[in-house]
This record gives sequence, C-alpha cells and structure tokens, in this order.
Amino acid sequence: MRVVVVGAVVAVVAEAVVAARQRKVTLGKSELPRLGVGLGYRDAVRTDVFRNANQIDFLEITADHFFDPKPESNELLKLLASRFPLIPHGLGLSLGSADGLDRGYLNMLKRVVETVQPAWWSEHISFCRVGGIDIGHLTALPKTKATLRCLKENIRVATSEIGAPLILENITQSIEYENDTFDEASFLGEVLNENNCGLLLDVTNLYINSINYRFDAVQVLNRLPRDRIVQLHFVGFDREGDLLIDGHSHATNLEIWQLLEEVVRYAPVCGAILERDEQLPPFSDILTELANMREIMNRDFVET
Amino acid sequence: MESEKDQLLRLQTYVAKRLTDSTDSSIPEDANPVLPGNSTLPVNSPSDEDLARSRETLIRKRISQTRHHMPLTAETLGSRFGPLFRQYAERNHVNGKNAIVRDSLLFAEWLNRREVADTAAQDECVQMAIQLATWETMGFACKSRSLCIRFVRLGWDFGSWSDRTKLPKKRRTWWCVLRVLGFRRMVRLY
Repeated sequence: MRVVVVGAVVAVVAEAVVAARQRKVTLGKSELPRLGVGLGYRDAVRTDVFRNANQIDFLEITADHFFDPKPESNELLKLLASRFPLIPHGLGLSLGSADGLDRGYLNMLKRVVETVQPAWWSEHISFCRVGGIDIGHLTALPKTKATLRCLKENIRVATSEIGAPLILENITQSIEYENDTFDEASFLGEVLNENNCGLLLDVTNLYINSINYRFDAVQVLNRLPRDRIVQLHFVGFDREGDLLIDGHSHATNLEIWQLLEEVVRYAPVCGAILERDEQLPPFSDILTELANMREIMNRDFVET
Repeated sequence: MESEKDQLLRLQTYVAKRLTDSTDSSIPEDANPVLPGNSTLPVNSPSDEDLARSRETLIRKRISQTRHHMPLTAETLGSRFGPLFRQYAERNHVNGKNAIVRDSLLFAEWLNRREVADTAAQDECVQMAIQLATWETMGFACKSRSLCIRFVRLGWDFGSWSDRTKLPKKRRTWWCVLRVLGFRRMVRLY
C-alpha cells in the first residue's frame, strides 16, 4: 500500500515538473504580459529615455551590445532593468545556419537573458554566419522543408539553453531562392507552429517585402497564425527607385501606420517597438510616434 | 548522394561567399568543408541580380556604420566617403567580433596606402581626410582594447592589421603585467 502511495506521489511530482518545464518554454500568448509601446534602446538616446521614462512602456535592448562582460555594461543593464521592463533582441544567433549554432554566442546571449529575466526574448528567422563566414547582415533563408528541419534543430538547442519564451522575427528579404517550397505566410506559419514560438512581426519588413516582391501584405497578414503574433516592430522605410529599403532612419510612413492598424485589428499584441537607429529626430518626435502607436493599440483593443 | 543538410549548407556557404567576396563569384574548392571539390552551383541558388542587390545593401550598411566611427573623416570627405568606402569594401570584408571597429581601422589603412593616396593626391580635401582617418581611428582604438592588441601584435610599426605576425613574446609579457597590475591607463596609452 505504502509503495503504491509513494509511487503515485512520485508520478504526480514528476508530471508537475515536466509541466512546469514545458510552461517555461511554451508560448501561451494569453499568459504573456501586455507591455505596451516601447523603444529600441540605443546609447544615443539614453538621457532622453530616462528623462521621458513615463512615456515609454518598455525597452527592447540589442542583446549583442551587452555581451561585453565589462562592469559598465552590466551596470547599465541593471540600471535599465530597474526602470523599464526589458526585452532582449538577438542579432547574431543565426538560427537558420545549417552548420548549427555558435555555442559561444549562445552562452553570452543566455547570460544577458538571465540577467534581465524578460517576459520573452527574440531573434530573427535568418542566417548571418555559416562555414566560418560572418556575413554581417541578416540573410534570408530558402523556404524549404530542409530549412524548416534545420531551424527546428537550432531552435531546440537555443530554447533548451534559454528558458524564457522565444519569439521569432520576419526579416527584409533581399534575395529570393529559385525553388522555394513555401511562400512567406506559409513558411512563417510552419516555423512558428512547428517550434511553438511566437511571432515578432516587423510590420515595416512585411510592407517592404510586399512592395519589393509584389504581394499583398494584408493577404499575407490574414494567413499568419493570429494567436502567435506577440510583438511588433515598426519604423519608416527608405525609397530607392522602385525598391524600398529598411534603413531604420525615417519617421514611420503613412503606409506603415495603415498596415499597423490592420495588424492590431487582426491580432491584438502584447507590445510594439519603434526601431529607430539612424538620423535620430528630436526626441519629442519619437514620443509622438509612440503615442500614435499606443492610441492604435488601445483603440483596437477596445473594439475587439 | 548529397544529403538535404549538406545541400542547404552548400547553398548557404555559396550565398555567404557571394555576399562577402566581391571579385570571385565562383565557389572555391574549400568553400564547403563538407563537400570538398564540389564546384557546381548549389540547387535553389538565388539570382545574380538578387545577390548583387543584397551585397549592395550590405555595403551600404557598412558605410553607415563606419560613418559613425569616423565622423570627422566622413564629414571631410562629404559625398566622396561613400564611393571611396565602396572601393575599399569591394576587396575587403571583415569577419567576426568587433567587425565595425576593424572595418574602420582597415579603411583608414586602405586610405593611407600609397596607390590610393597617389590617385587622390591632387585633391586637398581627400588628402586631409586621409590624415584625419589615421588620427581618428587611432583615437578610436585608444578607447578600446583594439590598440593594445594591435601593439602586442605589431608593436610601434603600424603595418596592416591583416599582417598578423607571431606575437612578440616580450611585448606580450609587458602588456599582461601592466594589465594584471591594473595600469589600465598605461595599457591604453600603448
């Protein structure tokens, strides 16, 4: 009798541990906090960010900028974390690399995520390093089953190391492969569903790709898994002839605002980040953009 | 028979090489460690036009990042900064950690090379920028560990960054001693 009771208790505890582990890495959008509207943190706006902290709901930090184990870097990270909810955003994990992840990079990323204890962390669906070559740029992946398998393996390794939920970002596509099996929407859907990850939908990238590769952005949006869209990125684009460029250097264009409205109407999100890197305007302009986005998010939340 | 993963690896390596190498678009034999000697185009490779466009985006990104690190040089060169950097970037790609820092240092060195200086000799503005670039990148390097590493590797003879000689043992020892003793400022002065 005693053996049976002990066995049952062990089974229940084991089940609870497994469930807790799964919860740790499983993305349940409804369980994630609603962070609001924030800004991609850059050193150039440090003073303004603290001065206007009451108008910025959260910050997205580029994890790579905090890999340096210098005390100053750690102090800044702790200072930011003490004032804002932080979301680490990776640039160089290269989740799509066919030769696997760089363990050194993964460990540094893990250290930053563990320091920040974020609600989630994000990376790109792309590759930037392969066969010892560092491209220095997020490069599009072929949309094939082989890529899906490769992503699955790399994401498994990354999420087994880093406990916080992972969300994946769509990139600006500058190359198109000859014999892709999937289109943009179905590829994103497959990646997210197969790996149980959320989507960091870069609305500007979606719009740029739709113009450069001539598809309807709203149609693609409507085919994305609604409950997986967790966070948004937005910023203005550059125009060069017929092509649009993701320069992170312009105020958000009207077309992007319109698409943002569509996105939020389609899928209420937990957060949105303005990604401005270049040609920084007066900070009041940035705050105005954040207020506009907040208004869109609130409006559509009320309607839905 | 090439496995699915090998095919993907070869395709990615091909794309990476095309985006980072300017002059040679063929696949070198050692481009893929998995498949030595395979020089056929990978399955599903993107078009030359797409690769060229992507490469252009990459160079433009490097121009923009280097501008931040060499603001005086960029300002002095004005609209000539981009084309000059492009000439440099056509033949140079920097890999790995601190790539932007090393890109700026290499660009300053490239500007300083005799053949570039000669072609621009008649232009005072470019001449001034060449001097500024050297000063600016040295100043920049002083703030980071790059100059220390550079000193350890090359000594006072500031040759090309890529001319990596064997570490001079004596200088390395001094550098380590100074660091251990906490003479950070002295290390930085090097």
